[in-house]
Amino acid sequence: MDDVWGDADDVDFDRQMAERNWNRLQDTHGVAGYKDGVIEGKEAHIQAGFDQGYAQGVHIGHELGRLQGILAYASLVAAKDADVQRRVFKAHPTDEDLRMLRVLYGEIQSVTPDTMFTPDFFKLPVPSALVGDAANAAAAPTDLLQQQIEPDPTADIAFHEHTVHFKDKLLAALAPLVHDSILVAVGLS
Amino acid sequence: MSDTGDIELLLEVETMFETSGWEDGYRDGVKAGMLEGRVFGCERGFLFGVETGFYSGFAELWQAVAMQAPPEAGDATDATDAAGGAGDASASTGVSARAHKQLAQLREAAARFPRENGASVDPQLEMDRLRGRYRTAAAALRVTEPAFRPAKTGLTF
Repeated sequence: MDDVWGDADDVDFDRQMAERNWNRLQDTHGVAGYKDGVIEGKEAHIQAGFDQGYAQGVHIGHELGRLQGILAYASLVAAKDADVQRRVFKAHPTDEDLRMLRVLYGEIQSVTPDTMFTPDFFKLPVPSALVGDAANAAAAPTDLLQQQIEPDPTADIAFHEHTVHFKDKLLAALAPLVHDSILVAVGLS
Repeated sequence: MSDTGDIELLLEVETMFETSGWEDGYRDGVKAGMLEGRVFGCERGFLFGVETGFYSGFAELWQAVAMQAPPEAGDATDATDAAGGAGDASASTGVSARAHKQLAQLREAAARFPRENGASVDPQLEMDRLRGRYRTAAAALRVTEPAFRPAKTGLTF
C-alpha cells in the first residue's frame, strides 16, 4: 500500500512540475514573441497611421485657417484702411463690433491640435483586416495600407462640429456688418 | 525519447509559444502604431492646414473686396491712393493688377498644398514657398500685419 501511495505522489509531483515548466515556457517565449510582434506591428503601420492622420489634420485645419484668415483681415482692414473698410462693411463698424470680431478670432485661434484631436477622436475601430489576421497583415502590408485611406466617419463628425460651429458664429458676427456679396464670395453665405 | 528528440520537441514548443505571442503582439502593435501615427499625423497636418487655410482666407477675402463696387465718386482719389499705392492701382477695384495676380497665385498655391503625405512632395518646402507667396501678395497690397502666427502666440491687432 505504501508503494502505491508513493507512486501517486510521484505522478502528482511530475504533473505539477510539467505544468510549471509548460507555463514558464509559455511565459518566457510567449512574452518574447509578443514583444517582437508589438515592435514589428508598430513599425509596419506607424507610417500608415501618420498618413491617415496627416490627411485628416490638413483637411480640418485648412477650413479653420480659412475662417481665421477671413476674420483676421476683416478686423484688420476695418481698423486701418478707410477705403477697404467701405468695401468690406455696410456701415462704419463700431468699437464694440471690432471687439466682438477680435473675441471671435481668439476663440477660433484657440482651437489647437490638443483641443481638436481629443482622445475620443482617436477611439476608432481599426479595420478588421488589420486585427483579424496578423500573419496576413505581415505578408501583404501594401493592401492593408490602402485600406487605411478610406474616409473616416469620426473625423467627419469632428470636422463638422468644429467648422460648422465656427462658421455659424462667424456668419452671425459678420452678416450684419459685411456686404452680402463678400460673404457669398468667401463661402460664408 | 532520445535527448535529441526531447530538444527538438522543446524547440517546437518554444517556437509555438513565440509564434502565438508574436501574433498577439503584432495585432496590438498594429493598433498602437496606427494610433501613434495618427496622433502625430493629425497634429502635423492640422498645423500645416491652419496656415494654408489662413493664406487662402486672406486671398479669398481680398479678392472679394476687390470685386466690390468702388466707393462713392468723391472718395475715388483717396481710395486709389490708399489701396493701390505706387501708381499701378486700379480705380475700379482699389487693388492693383499686380496685387490681383499675386492673390490669384497665392490662392492657387494654397490649393495645391499637399493634402496627403507623399514621398514626392516635401510639405515643409511647399510651406516655405507658400509663405514667400504670401509675403509678396501682402507687400503688393501694402499689408504688413497681421502675419500668420501659430495659435499659441496669437495675432496682434
